[in-house]
Amino acid sequence: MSLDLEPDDAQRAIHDELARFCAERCSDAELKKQIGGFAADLWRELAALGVLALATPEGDGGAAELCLACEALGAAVFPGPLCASVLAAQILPEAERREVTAGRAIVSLGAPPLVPFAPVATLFLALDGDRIHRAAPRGEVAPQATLGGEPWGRVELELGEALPASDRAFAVHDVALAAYTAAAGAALVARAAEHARTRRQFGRAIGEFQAVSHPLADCAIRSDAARILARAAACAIDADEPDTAARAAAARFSARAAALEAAHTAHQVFGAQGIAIEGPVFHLSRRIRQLASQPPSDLRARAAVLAPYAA
Amino acid sequence: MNFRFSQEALRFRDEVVAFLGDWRDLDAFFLQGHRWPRVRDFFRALGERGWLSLGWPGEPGARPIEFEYLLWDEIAYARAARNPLASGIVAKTIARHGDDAQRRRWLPPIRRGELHFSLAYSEPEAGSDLASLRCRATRNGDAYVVRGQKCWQSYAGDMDCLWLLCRTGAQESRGASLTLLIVEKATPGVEVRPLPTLDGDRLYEVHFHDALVPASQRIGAENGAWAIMATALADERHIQFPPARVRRDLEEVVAWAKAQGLLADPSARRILADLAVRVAEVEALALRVLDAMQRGANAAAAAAANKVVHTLVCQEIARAALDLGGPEALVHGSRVELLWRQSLWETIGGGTSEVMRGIVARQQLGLG
Repeated sequence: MSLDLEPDDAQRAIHDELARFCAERCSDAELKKQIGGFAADLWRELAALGVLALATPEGDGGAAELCLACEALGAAVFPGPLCASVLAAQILPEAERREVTAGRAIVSLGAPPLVPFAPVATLFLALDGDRIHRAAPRGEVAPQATLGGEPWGRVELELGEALPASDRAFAVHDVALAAYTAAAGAALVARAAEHARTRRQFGRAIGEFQAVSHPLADCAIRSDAARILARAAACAIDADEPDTAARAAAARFSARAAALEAAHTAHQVFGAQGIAIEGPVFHLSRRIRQLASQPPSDLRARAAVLAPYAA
Repeated sequence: MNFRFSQEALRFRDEVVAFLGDWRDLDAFFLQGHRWPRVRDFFRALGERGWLSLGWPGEPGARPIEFEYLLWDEIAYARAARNPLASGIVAKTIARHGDDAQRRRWLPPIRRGELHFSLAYSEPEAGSDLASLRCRATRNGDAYVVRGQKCWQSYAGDMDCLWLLCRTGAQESRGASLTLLIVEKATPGVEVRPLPTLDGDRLYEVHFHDALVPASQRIGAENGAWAIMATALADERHIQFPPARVRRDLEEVVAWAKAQGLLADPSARRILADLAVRVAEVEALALRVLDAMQRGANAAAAAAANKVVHTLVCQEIARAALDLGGPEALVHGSRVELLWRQSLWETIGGGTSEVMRGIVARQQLGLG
C-alpha cells in the first residue's frame, strides 16, 4: 500500500451524504435564521446520521471517517456543539456517551463562568487546565450572545469527578476541529474566488489583478495544507501511531490560521458586499472566528506540537 | 487514505539512512561550492548503488517515485547535498527525448555520478520571463555557433557540462524557437565568471563567444525545447523541495535556542510552536505533490504551492532565529546566521514566489 491522500469510496460516501444533508437542511438562509439560537431537531437529525458516534466503539467508522464528515459539515458551517460533543464522546462512559452520540445530551464544554451552549446544554463538562470534570450548574444561567452566533452563557459550575482524558481523546477532538475549520476556510476561498472571477471593475474581472489573486492563492494553499494535515492525523489516530497528539494539534493550528486568513481575505475581496450582515461572508467568518477562540485552550496542543523538537 | 509509504520504500529509506552515516560531516547542502571534491565522491557513491537513476524513465532499475522522494528527503535531512541536475532534469530529458546515440553517450557517466551539469537558462534580461531569452545558436554545417550570455547559474564553476537553453529562431516567437544543447564547459569560446553571493557561495555567469557545439549535442528537435522542458520539470517536482530540509532547519534552531537558554521564555516557545505547524504544512504540501504525480495528475499547481510555502518557511525559521537570539545570532559562521543569508535565495531560485502564486491562482482558482 502506498501513499494516497484522497478518501476511499466509503469515506467519500460519508462526506457526500453529509454534504447533501447540509445542502438540504442548512442553507445560507437557514443558517442566518438560526444565529443566536440552537436547533435541537437539526442536531438530532445530524446525530441520527451517526456522525457523533464516529471514532467511538459504537461508530460506523474511525477518526478518518469523522474527519471526512467534519469536512462536509465545516464547508457548510453546520451549527451546534460539534467538537465538544466529539471530545465528550471520547471521555464519557458508555451510557452517557450514547446519549451524546444520539443527540439527546447537549454538551457544554468550557471553563466557567463563560461557557458555550450553556442555556441549552444538558451535560456540562468543566475545563480546569488539562483536566475535564463533570460539572453541574449552580444557580441560573445568564445567556450571553457571542460573535459566532452561538448561545453561550455565564454560570457558576460545581465541579465533580475528573474524567480520564487521554491524548487520543484530545487528538480526535483536534482532528474534528481541524477538518471542520479547514473546510470552512476553503468554502470561503471558493466563494471569494468565484466573486473575483465575476466581479468586474476597471473593465476586467478583479481576479485578474494580482493584488486580489495572490492573497487568494495563499489562502487556497493554506486550506489545502490544513485539510491534508487533518486527514494525516486522523489516519495516525486510527493506526494508533505514537505521534498523534503532535500531528492532530498541528492540524488544528494550521486549520485555524488558514481559516482566519481566508476569512479576512474574503471580507476584503468582497469589499462592501462582505460587510453586510446578510452578505455572503459574515455568517461564515464569524463562525471561523468563534471556533478559533473556543475552549479547550491552546496550551496543551501547543506543547504537543513543540514536543518532537524540544525533547 | 493512507499516509504511510510502502514497506518496500521504508526498507529502502533505512538503507539510505545507514548509507548516510558515512557522510554526516559532508554538510554540503548549503555550500556545495566549498566542498565539491567530496560532493563528487558522494555522488559517485550514490551512483555505485544505482541510486542516481532510480527514477529515470525506461531505466531497467527504475523504482516507484516514492523511492526517489525518500532518497533526496533523507539526503536533505542529512545536509549532505542537493539533488544534482545531471541525474535529474538532464538525464530524464535525455532518456525521454534523446536518440539512442545520445543515451549511450551521456547516460552511463551520469548514472555513475561522474558527469555533472549546470543549467544555463536565465539571462540578464530573461529571469522569470524565460521565453524572452536571447542567447543565440546559429546552425553552421554539423555544428551550432553559440553567442550570448547566461547568468545566475548554480555550481557552473565545478560542473563538466552546461545544459543550455538558447534561441534558434525569431526572437518574437518566444518559446517556439528555443533549443536545448549540451555544451561541454571546456569548449573554446565558453567563459565562466563567478558571482559571489550573500550565502558565502557563488553563482556564475557564462559568456559564449561564438562557441562551436556539435549538432549531435542537441537534445530533441530544433525549436522544440519548450515542450521538452515542461516534461522535464514535471519529472522533478517531487524531489526539488525536500521537506526534511525544513524540519532540519527548525530542529537546529530549536536546539540552538535551547543552548542559548531561550526556551524558558513562553513567547519564544510560542513562536517555535507556530513554526512547527508551518513545518507540518510544508510536509503536507510535499506529500500532495508526490500523491498527484503517483496518480498521473498534473502536479503543476501542487508543486507551485509546495514551492511557495517550503521556501517561505525556510525564511520564517531563519528570521525567527535571529529575532529570538539576540547578539549571538549575529556571529558569522553560526548556523542561524547562515540560514538567514541562505534562505533569501530560496523564494527566487527555481521560480519566484510571485510566479508560483500566479500558477496556483490560474490553475486552481481560475483567476488571472
